[in-house]
Amino acid sequence: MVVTARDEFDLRVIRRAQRGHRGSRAVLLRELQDVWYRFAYQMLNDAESAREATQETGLRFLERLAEFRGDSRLKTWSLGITLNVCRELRRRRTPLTLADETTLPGREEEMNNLACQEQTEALSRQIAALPDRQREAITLRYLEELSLQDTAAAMGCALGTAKATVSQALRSLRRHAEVLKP
Amino acid sequence: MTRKLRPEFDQARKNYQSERYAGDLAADLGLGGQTSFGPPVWRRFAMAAAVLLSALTAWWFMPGEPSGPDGSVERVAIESNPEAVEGGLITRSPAQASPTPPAVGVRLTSTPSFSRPDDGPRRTRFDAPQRPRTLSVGLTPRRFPGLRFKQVKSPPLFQRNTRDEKPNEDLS
Repeated sequence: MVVTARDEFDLRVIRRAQRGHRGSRAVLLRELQDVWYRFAYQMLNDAESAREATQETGLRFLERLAEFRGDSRLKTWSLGITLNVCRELRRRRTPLTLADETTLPGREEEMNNLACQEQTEALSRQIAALPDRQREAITLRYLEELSLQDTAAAMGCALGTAKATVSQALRSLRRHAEVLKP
Repeated sequence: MTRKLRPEFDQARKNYQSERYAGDLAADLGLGGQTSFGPPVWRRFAMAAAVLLSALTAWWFMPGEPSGPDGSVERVAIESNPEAVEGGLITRSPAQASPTPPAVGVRLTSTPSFSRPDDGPRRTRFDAPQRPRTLSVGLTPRRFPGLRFKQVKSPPLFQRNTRDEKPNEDLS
């Protein structure tokens, strides 16, 4: 059982959770639940589906925790589980309609600048309209702020593939932004 | 490439990271009310019992004061005003002589007895045996219990070799 020290979690908590300690498992779940939820929300564009995906991720996380070897961070490793859960949910669901204002996540926070709000919402729409793989890559890389290596690890692909996917997504977003520019 | 999109990305990231799971996932999955710190009550009780047992064991095996047959503690101590006693002259060869031969001793307040109460008078090897030893045929000393000595029976008289016996020659 090798757990590296670069994880943001206490190694003792991870080890105890791997041995089945219920309290440590509860601590890890509470630390990661928001990470899983917002990623699932970004992927599925639906609060109820995101909640379902988060719970499924939690179950699988507990099942596979003993297999965690510390090759990547625990957050990255768990986001890989969330990604797989979201892909399965997307496959089971009816084909997604392109995101519009009604399916986008509600942004309740007050914004000082209306123009900035509009631009942000436009970007969110564009991200939501991206192909699944590109949306996953952009979310992990720029919204979850993972490194490229961690993005590749979470997506379960090679580093070059992750880089190419992120580049394609950025190119597409830039094209949309130029089109939308007055 | 993200330079043009940086401000929008920053705001989108803030919005993204403000999303929260409503509720407690650990409780939803049946792990509610658990914390990683502090062992459960039964574990604390087991630890306390183990500490108590080890303390009792250590106390039980601790060596106590030597006591006499009636339970009283006999103490051997040096007399408050020891008298010098002539120790006699020990003659040794010069090579064996120690540089400071002990010539002065101390007198003890009491003579310690090292015999157990049920021993009776100490026997020496010069005392008569308590029970006369009977020697019988076949009785071998049991110094080596595992070793059996073979008993040699003397042959009957008619089988004895009388070759060497000289006949009573009548020389007359």
